[in-house]
Amino acid sequence: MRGKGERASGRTTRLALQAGGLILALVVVWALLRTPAGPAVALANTAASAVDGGAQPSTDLLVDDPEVEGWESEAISERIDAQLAKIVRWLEEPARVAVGELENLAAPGFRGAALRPESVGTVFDGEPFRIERAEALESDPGRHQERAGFVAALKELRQPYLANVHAKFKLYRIEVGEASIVTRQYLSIDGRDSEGQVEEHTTWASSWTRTEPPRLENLVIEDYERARTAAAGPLFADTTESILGYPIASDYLLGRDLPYWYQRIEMRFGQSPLGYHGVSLGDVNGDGLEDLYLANPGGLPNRLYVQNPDGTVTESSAAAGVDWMTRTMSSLFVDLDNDGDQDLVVGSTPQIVMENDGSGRFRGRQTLPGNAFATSMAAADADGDGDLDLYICNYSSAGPVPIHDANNGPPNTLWRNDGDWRFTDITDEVGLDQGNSRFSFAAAWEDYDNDGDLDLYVANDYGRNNLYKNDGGRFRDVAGEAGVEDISAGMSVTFGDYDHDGWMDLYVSNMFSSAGNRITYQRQFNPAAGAEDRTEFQRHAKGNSLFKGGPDGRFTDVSVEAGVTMGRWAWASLFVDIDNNGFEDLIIANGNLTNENSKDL
Amino acid sequence: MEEAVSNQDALESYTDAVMEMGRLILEGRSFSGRERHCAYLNTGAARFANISAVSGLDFPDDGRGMVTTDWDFDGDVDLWVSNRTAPRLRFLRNDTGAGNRFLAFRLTGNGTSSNRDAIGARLTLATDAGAQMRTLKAGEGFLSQSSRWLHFGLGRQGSVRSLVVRWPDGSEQTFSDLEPDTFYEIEQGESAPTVYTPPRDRIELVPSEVEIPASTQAMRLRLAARTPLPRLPYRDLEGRERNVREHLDKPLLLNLWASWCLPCRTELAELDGAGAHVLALSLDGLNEHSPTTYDDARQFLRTYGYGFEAGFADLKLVQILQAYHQAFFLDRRPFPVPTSFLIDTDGNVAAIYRGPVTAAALADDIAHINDDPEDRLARAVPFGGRWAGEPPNVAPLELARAMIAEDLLTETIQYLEEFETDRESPLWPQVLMELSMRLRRNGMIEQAEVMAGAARRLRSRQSTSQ
Repeated sequence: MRGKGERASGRTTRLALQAGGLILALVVVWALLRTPAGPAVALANTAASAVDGGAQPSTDLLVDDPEVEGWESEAISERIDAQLAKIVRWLEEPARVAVGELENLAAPGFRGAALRPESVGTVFDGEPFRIERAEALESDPGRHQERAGFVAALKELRQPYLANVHAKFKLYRIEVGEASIVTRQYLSIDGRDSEGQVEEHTTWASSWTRTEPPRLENLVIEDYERARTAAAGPLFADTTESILGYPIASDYLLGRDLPYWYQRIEMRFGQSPLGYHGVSLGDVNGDGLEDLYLANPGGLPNRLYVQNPDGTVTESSAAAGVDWMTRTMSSLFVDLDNDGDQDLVVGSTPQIVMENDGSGRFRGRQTLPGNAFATSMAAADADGDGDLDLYICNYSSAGPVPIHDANNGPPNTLWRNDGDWRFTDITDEVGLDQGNSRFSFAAAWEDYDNDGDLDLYVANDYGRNNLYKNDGGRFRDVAGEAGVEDISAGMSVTFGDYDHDGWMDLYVSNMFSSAGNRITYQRQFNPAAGAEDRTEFQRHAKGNSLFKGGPDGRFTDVSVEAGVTMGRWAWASLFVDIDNNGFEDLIIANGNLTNENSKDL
Repeated sequence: MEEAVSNQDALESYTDAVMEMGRLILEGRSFSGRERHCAYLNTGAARFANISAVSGLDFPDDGRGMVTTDWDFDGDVDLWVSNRTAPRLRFLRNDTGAGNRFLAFRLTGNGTSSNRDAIGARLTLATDAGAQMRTLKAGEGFLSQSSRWLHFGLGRQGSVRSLVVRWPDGSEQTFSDLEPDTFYEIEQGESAPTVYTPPRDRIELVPSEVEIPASTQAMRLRLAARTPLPRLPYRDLEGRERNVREHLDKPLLLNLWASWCLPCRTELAELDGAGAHVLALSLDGLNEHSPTTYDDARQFLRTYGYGFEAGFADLKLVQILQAYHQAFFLDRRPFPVPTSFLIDTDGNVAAIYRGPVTAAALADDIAHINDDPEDRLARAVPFGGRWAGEPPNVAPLELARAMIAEDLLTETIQYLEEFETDRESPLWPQVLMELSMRLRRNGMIEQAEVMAGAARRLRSRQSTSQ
């Protein structure tokens, strides 16, 4: 690191930023620039860290402080985030923020429009959801003037809410000029008003003074949407404890987060801070009711919840012989021997293939040697011989190289089911070795081109995804031609015909990064990068992708128009019709690493 | 200044950055944490609508897997979500009213030309409002496998014309006369589906607010592996240089305490009362930030008159112990006070106690200190289960890496020379390489070169022998 004290070159920045994680890339730049400091000696900072209640030592390091590095816009973003946080605090609990403090957020010459449009149109009125959008947003940009006007605008915004207000800004675009700073931020508010549960989503387009702290000079809204439910409560309610039959807090395993375990269980057993552990459903005992298998980190047993006739569950992993202690990421219930019961593939590394005796007891029959570690698995009859074959995605913790489009990942594997619990690796033989050195997170089999055979889409971290088109049992990676490479941090794959045109559409979860969004639109961000490069980086930070399928085998990226990009740090996502109106909706599981210190990196 | 950049440079920066972030995360920092799930409603137009909050899906968990199932058989699709945070599982009951109708199908292939699970079957449902398609999958989303029931919403009208099933073997069947709001089972080759009657007497699914209390910070970490400690010099109360190894005639509790620490007093009194074999090293006067001094410690000991050996810990001893802890656990949080190490007569650590340890717990762990490896393994984990072999113990090499990261280079070299470590492990050349980089940073260029050369030779030998 010595000798790189100069501001990082544009090329280093560009290469670093093409990596799959733009947040990580920011850290790279900061790390390159900071003076190598000695490692912090924890105890030196420990004031009174007596157990259970002592003060936490400070962990603020140079790497955390964009000030020092001259990434001006990031430093200013932090200031603006702090100002916006005051608005959030006020919206959620008005008593907590004095009017004077609110006033101070605006400059004396503030001019702003109404923060909620005067007229909205109903674009959807189903059961139970009603969706409204602003017809036109030309409202008077000077309707509210001066500091008092800003407070009035906020009060107008807050006025309809009665309780349970939750608000969040996402500052995703920033331009630092000589005299002022222009920003764009998404604002989401939800809570209860006189009609019931409501949520609003809008974009604030604003300019701020270049002062310390920045103050709002101008504010208009763009793009307003409101959703209501006519039902008394939310669509989804957490009834886990009814199914378990006891409070989760009393379940030593389900009631603890993963950091609890990796602080207490030796890491060599297979512990990791990332927490890639999924769930699969299948009927293990042939009673027609589906059971659930939960994958766990190493040193903890996987769990099998067998559904009872009344809809509760009984944990039966030991009796079933599936209480594996090896680190497991996923699992599949599949009838591998076509005998009418659900066998189990345990997604550990190596994978363990177990035969079901018909009554829900499993016996190990085969292990499939792995590559680094398995993530998602997907089964299909790839060779058309009437039994299910297995596609295993693999990922590793090696650093991606080359950093801008990693090709040093571990290969994924297609195991052909040869009967009698024998499997043959036919990956290369059928052409799935093309583009097969990525860091794969997810895969799904789908006949996207409606030609009667199953094709395969693979979502990869650090770069491009694969669309393997099946032609008579041989596969060819057509992701580029089909327009679905989606160069981003791909985490999840789901198919659905959302527009009822008879062609399957594709939704891929990625990581949305506010910071990444801000950085890639910066003028100072690599002036040498061509328009194509910028588009690539913007793609990386954009979030989830919706690709509309069509008759020519090509997909159209409709993510932005469809308004489905902002999934945050997204993991599993699915097409599912949640309101039974005949159109498949999208649901996305978000959240990366929530640890005890909530100040986000 | 324009630099010539290679992929290697970028990779090094990236790796350094990732390690930096990894360390911060293991110190307890969040990274894109507390993000709520999202739901987008398909309104039938080009643009979806954000219903994350009003759908009730917006839990702030670190979600990972998500699967669909109509668990309560009421016609709408419920969800199971697996999380990194607690609760590790959430079942979300869908409360869509009966206004919008549904159909659900469970398929069985013939088990000869089509796989019996019918995975890969394509369903096309023709309705007055248009056609809907589904493909049956085993594995979709991320780390997830949903129910094999295929679900269709029918809207208010609920008009169904026909269902075409294309089985995995390519054959097709068409079914008409389907009644809305019905669960159908379809067997390949049968001319009509059969109606599935869900079980009755189902438990009522009642929403509850899941509360997860904060966990205690105190931990009793029993190690399955037996890994020797490096040399641990310390000063006794008279200021003489001593070594922890002098006290290993019996299992020893090496205890770190301080005079200002109230729980320490309670713990020391209890251990003394039980006659435990303890070496209590004080953190008083540890460095210039310390609020208390050596004399405070001596005064404390005089006041309470404990019967065991005592002395002073220095920064290096604490760093070595922290490195040792990091060799086993993904945890970079500083030690609380008190922290203790149970050391067997061979100088291996059998248990680490973060926070106070009771005399009873200590006696229990001492009683098991010479257990067989299988019994130690069972005691090192909170639940029973089946192992696919015990993972190898890499702690000696991880300890070396942790000490290198703290610039304890002499101690590392001493440790590697004194103790047998797995030279065949792929970690071994990595240790040498990291040692080499540190030696270089400390200006010991010649030694650095020697190490780097050894590492490269070892790496190539290891890769060719594969």
